[in-house]
Amino acid sequence: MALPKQTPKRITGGVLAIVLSFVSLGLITLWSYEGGTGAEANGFLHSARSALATVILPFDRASSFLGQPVDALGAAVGDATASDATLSELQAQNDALSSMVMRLEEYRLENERLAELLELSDAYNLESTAAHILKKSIDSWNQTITIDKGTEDGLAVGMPVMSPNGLIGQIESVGRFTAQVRLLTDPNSGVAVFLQANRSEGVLTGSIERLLYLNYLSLDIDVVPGDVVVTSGAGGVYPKGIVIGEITSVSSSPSDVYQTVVVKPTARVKYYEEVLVLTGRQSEVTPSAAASTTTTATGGTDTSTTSASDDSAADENANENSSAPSGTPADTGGGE
Amino acid sequence: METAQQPPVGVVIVSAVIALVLQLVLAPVITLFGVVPNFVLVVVIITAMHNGPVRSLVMGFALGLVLDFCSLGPLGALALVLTILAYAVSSLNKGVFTGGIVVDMIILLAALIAGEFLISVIYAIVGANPEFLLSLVQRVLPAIAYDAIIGLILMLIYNAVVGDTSFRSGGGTGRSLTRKLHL
Repeated sequence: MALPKQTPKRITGGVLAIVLSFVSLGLITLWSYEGGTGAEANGFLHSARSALATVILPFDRASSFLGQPVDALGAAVGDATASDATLSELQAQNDALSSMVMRLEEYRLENERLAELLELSDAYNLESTAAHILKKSIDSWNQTITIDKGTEDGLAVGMPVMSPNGLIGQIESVGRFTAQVRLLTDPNSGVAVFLQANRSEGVLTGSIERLLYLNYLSLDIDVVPGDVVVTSGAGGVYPKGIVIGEITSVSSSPSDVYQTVVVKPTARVKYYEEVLVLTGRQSEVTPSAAASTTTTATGGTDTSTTSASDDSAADENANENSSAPSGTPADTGGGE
Repeated sequence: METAQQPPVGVVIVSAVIALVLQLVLAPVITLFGVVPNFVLVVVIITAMHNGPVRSLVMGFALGLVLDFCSLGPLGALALVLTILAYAVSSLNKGVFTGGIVVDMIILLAALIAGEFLISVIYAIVGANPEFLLSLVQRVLPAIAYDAIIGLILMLIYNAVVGDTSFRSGGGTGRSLTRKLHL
């Protein structure tokens, strides 16, 4: 008796669509369970994402190579109405001087308040390592940059990242040779800050409009445009005293509990090719593990991308010689 | 079920690779006002217009998953969106429409609107898009416009290279570059 001929079952589109949709939903659920966005998130999927960063390194480098002439073209077009090189030079000089004034003001106020505590070590004595920006975000929903340093260089998730003019973000994913930094302007970013003038504390968050909003400032606090905003150090992620920006507008209505304060960041990522990653505080590192790639950053606002100290060169060398970095981050963990 | 009217599977693979390279290398460079073009979304939709559900689904899910791993967004979000879109668009093509480039553009635009909106919804649900309503104006609409321009260009290139092999056209013109090269 002959058996009926059996035809192999084919996967139909509908079945496959359902299966793949459920797989995707499972991944989203697991990703959320691991912590979702933020430096505190940890788990298999987040680790896999970090591992994959090594695989796509050639694409990152290709994008960096391609981006250089495009950025140069954009800058040239932007400066076309001015005297080219002069405008760029003056812009950079103005940024540096503005940052310096803010930093000096911060130092002056702190010196007044803490004059009796001069024997304490400088709280802003930070270890940092310079890195090149490889590329910006590959999608519209995350404001990130990819830098060319990773775990091989002592970087870790949660480390603050700054440009010569101020804080720009925090490492959220790190591979062996690259790291992804979530910028302060991302809606999922947040940092505890205070106003330089009156020490009023608040929380600075990014937004979809790429503006910074200073939240939780009650209506009775005197806030005026031009006030400088610096990190407060609360939460332990970002060191205290790093300049972020200055207030550009303040508004409120009678029904509001808090003021609506918009902050213009002093650090503009598009103008820089290098950033500094703060790997730890000198006072907290052990002298046993020296790392030649690290430099010293003081005050968090520096005019050099490779050596960020505003102390004299002699002081800087003395610091490097007397206190070698361990590579252990002083600030890791969750975002604020 | 896949039909004999589809372009060679090699075309789908090459399209996927090109889309991935464009997204990882070119897209970050040509950002406009914070909006990054979504080459992968566009290519998956165009591929789904010319192929059956199985091919489109595999391509959409795989590309979405790779890009999810490369970004810092919700892992699986883009994979889910591209899976849904690939199935919907490839199913629509089974003789529903009988138009040319204009109808293709309408389908592409509708799919782009659905895709970008779905992404924003998923981001909002998992808490990665805290400003959902604002994002519709600031991100979704500009992204749709940017993607539509890129989609038109890529669609013309695709039709020139592969030929109009969409289901409704009855198998294409037979004058495409891939047919001449016997790919």
